[in-house]
Amino acid sequence: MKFFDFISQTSYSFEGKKGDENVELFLHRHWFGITNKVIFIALGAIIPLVVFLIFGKIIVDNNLLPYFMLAWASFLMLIWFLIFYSLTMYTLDYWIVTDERIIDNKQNGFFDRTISELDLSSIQDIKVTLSGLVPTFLNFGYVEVQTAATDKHFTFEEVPRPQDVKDVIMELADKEERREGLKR
Amino acid sequence: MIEGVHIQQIAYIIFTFVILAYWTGAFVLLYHLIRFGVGMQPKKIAIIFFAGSLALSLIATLFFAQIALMN
Repeated sequence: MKFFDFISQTSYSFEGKKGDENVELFLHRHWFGITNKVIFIALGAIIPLVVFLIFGKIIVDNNLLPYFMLAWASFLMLIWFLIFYSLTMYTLDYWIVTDERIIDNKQNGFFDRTISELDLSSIQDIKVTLSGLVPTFLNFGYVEVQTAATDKHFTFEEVPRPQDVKDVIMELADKEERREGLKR
Repeated sequence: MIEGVHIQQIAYIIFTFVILAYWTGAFVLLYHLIRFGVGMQPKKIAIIFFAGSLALSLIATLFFAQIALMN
């Protein structure tokens, strides 16, 4: 099926990717946050059911059932849209660590995107923060990358296995530093 | 009778407007997922959203048609 090939043939290619650049890490926020959000929105789908349980007799007696069903279907469309809006924002909010740089793609809403980039060679220090019961149990947290410029830092928010992320970035930064040293 | 027809026409307009508004939003969402998504996950989400939207729109349209036929 040639039409659907785009589903299986997509790799971690992104806008502005250099030809020889390799993607080492592709990170989203931990699933815990988005799962909570989706469950909360999905629970809204039972509101019409509750309304029917309370006012069902009045609805049936006044022959309003088809109108009620239409309203329910429209409400489900709204819930469906809100769930996928949340999933879209979650999916489009990501961090890419390549063997040359770190890219932070932040999706703030429709048609509102911020992309920042950091060279691995400018990394000075990395701080990992796991704060709270759930983040500690599920192992997700913040990775703060400090650059040579004192006021400039880069934060990976609620990423899974932050310690491993830090190790990978440190290793890549060391490699980059050695490569830069050899060039000089 | 004239009033009945009038209300029915308003109902048609409202329903058409709701469906159009939904599919405009759906198009924007699908555009973001396909255009800006990296990897396979956004494309899979887009397909599931599209399929669900089609099904729900069809169900809503059927309920609306039932009401229209009743009147």
